[in-house]
Amino acid sequence: MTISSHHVAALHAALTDDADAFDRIDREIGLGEGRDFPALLTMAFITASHLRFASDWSTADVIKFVSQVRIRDGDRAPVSPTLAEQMILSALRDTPFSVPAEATATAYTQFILMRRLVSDLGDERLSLLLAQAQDSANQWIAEQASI
Amino acid sequence: MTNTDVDSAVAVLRAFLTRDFSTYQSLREGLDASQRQAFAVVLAAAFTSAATRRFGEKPPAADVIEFVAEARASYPTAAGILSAEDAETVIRASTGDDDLIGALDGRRSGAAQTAMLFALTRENGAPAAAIDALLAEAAAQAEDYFQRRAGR
Repeated sequence: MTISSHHVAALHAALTDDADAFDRIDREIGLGEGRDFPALLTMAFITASHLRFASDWSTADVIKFVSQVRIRDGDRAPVSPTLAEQMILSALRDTPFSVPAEATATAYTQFILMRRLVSDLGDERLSLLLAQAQDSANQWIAEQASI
Repeated sequence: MTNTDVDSAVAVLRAFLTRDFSTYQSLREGLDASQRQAFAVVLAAAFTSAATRRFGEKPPAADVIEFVAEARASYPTAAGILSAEDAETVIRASTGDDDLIGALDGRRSGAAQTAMLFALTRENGAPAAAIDALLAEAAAQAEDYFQRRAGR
């Protein structure tokens, strides 16, 4: 299991609404198989959360951010605010995410939040963030393999 | 059920809404079963009046989400206990979304109504007189409800 440049390109495409590129990569390497892509998304989510919220962040900041995401994405399938808040709080506190939820709901919520977390980043900073997430994810994978 | 029960319930709620939390705590713990029932009815009546006044009938989801977020963000400790889902559910149920009536059990609904009623009365710095007026209206509705129920 390794996070490749294809996974990074696929996440970049998904976050920039490039559905054609995402579908093409998905057909080539099968993103739904394996845990590589979810691992990259999770690591990118944690990195983006730290980037989006200042070091003196508060729970109130997270509550307000999630409410704005839900208002802006109101036409999509609804996001659970409890799930969304806990997901960001876990990322910011570097604690395991422990809210019981279906894997699909978790991945969906993570992606919707991720889009908003990086919405103010330009393409260059987004690419940098994803490269950093790729490194962190591969490092985590290597550590897990050695245990 | 007596008018005295309703009066007791109003006193408890007034203490909470005017931030006299120690009085609220002691009065709340002293309620008997009949007074607790009166409290639930007075709370529901006051909450429904305040929510309808604030949001109107069937408000846009964004209005409710924004209000609840502001309220929970103002009290982050309480926010950890009261979920946005519960808070939004009681507001939407009381403003015309009939599908949500009964969606929460009595305990969760009561907790969410209490917290959101507090937020509704604090939003524009409602003076004590406005809280008294709201509670008087709720007490009248509660007494009317209990009289109609006794007459069945």
